[in-house]
Amino acid sequence: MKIAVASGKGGTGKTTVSANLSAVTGIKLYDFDVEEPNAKIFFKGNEKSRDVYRPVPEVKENCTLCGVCREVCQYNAIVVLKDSIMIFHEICHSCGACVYLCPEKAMDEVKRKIGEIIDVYKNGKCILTYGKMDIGEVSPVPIIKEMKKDMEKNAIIDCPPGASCPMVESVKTADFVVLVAEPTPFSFHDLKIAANVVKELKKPFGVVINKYGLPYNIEERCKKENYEIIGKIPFDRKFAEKYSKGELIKDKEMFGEIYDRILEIL
Amino acid sequence: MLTAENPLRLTIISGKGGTGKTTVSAQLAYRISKVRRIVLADCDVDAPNLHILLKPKILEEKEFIGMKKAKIDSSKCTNCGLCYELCRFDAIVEDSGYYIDSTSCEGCALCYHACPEKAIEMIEETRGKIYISETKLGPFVHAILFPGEENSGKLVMEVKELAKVEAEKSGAAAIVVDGAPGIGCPVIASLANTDLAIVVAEPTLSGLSDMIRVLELTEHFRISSVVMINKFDLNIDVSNKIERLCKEKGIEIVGKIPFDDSIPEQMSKLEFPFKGRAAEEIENSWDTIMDIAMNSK
Repeated sequence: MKIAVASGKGGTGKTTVSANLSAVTGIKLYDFDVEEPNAKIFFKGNEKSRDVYRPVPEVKENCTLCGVCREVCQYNAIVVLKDSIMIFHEICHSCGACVYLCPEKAMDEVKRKIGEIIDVYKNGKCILTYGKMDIGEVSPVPIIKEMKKDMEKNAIIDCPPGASCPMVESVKTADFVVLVAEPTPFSFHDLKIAANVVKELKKPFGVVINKYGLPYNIEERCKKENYEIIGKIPFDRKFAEKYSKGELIKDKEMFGEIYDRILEIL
Repeated sequence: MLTAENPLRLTIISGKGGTGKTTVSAQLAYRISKVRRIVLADCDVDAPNLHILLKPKILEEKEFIGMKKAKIDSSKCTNCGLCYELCRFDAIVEDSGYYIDSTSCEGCALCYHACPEKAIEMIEETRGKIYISETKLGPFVHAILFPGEENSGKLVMEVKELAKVEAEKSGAAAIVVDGAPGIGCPVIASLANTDLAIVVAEPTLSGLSDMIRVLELTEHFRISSVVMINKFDLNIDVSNKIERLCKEKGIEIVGKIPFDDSIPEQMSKLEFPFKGRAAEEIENSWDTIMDIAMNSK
């Protein structure tokens, strides 16, 4: 079973929930927030890293400057000059259209490094896999896709924030989605956006309220939207301080109950 | 001096989400608006929040047309499977025939060009909305990307373009942009043509790690940056680390916002402008920010 932890708004406690769930259940954690990976702070161990590449086009000598590649490129990544072709690899989506459609077969693909995937081992067991996108790269999606290729059967996934392609790519692989929200109008607003994505993907989900106790009545609002609340983490400066030092809350009862509720729903 | 001909463009980013971008953007905009005309823009189009605080009056609504996406005409399709073979985004699904999973389609149009039966069309659809609004602080451009959509970078560019137009119309001396979390496409788009990036960092190990990455990003694109530490007294050790690191990089700390319980309280009640110690510290940072921004312009 794969459980994805997402939120819409950033900083509501995705990593807190996913890392603690992983620690309490012993299920391996995958950090898909490859733009800003943080789970590694909570799980120290021996790291083994491998590079991630994506294919990008390169022009061969038999190019006739016909310009078909520029016409078919939907991302404006190709410019045809008077005597050469310029390709902007940063904005290329690696779709392969220019390569496939070149009438002269004058395009090759080369590998471009876009990031790394790192396995973290403790006592010989891989406890965390996280991705790290290179600075200046535009899309985390190819790294997330690569990470999805060899996942264990049971997994907890720390998702990227937001509700667009990186979040969708991460949530797609899950059997259940935990949406983390805090009792503020902002977080509730973004929770609704994230819940709509999850509904569209037809995934069962539940809400964990972090900083429970702040005055905004998010419980009532969740009820109105028919979101089930499967856990609450109290608002406590102590937790914030622990998080700041990279320490887990490790409350077996609190996170165990969330996990049990997920099993019940499924 | 700040002039309307050439408005100062400030972008508030953070790397990590939830460190206080929106709080800082709004309060700083409020401070500047006391002395100058400003325009605000919310470029966190995935999860926009600034409008909740500013309660804007929407004057104009525009549709955001994103990438065209593929659609298979089943009456023309002969099930040859070429599109399925070629698509690198797993956007073509085989299920007694072929159809497009539009959440996976990146609009590359390879299938459209390659289909021997010309059975694939590229369809334009509204993928989000852009709003031009009026607030107590000044004109405000915001947007929402429909859930699960692509191209937030393109939408961010459109929001910024419209903010520039509003600035010209109203004679604004500054454009304050609330950016997106992360270091990818929406952030890079928010940072384009920025005079100064204000990085809001929180003193947690995660916050530190994310701040380092976002500063590498601004360095990569040669954008001047300053740092504001939010809740600096939550963990003094990490705060000191942030300060040391910024000093080494020659990056100015323009504010150290204290942990202030009244901020989440005021936010819950949507009481804005904010009051109290944290709000004052944000406002006080303006003079330093202006000096640095004018120099880097």
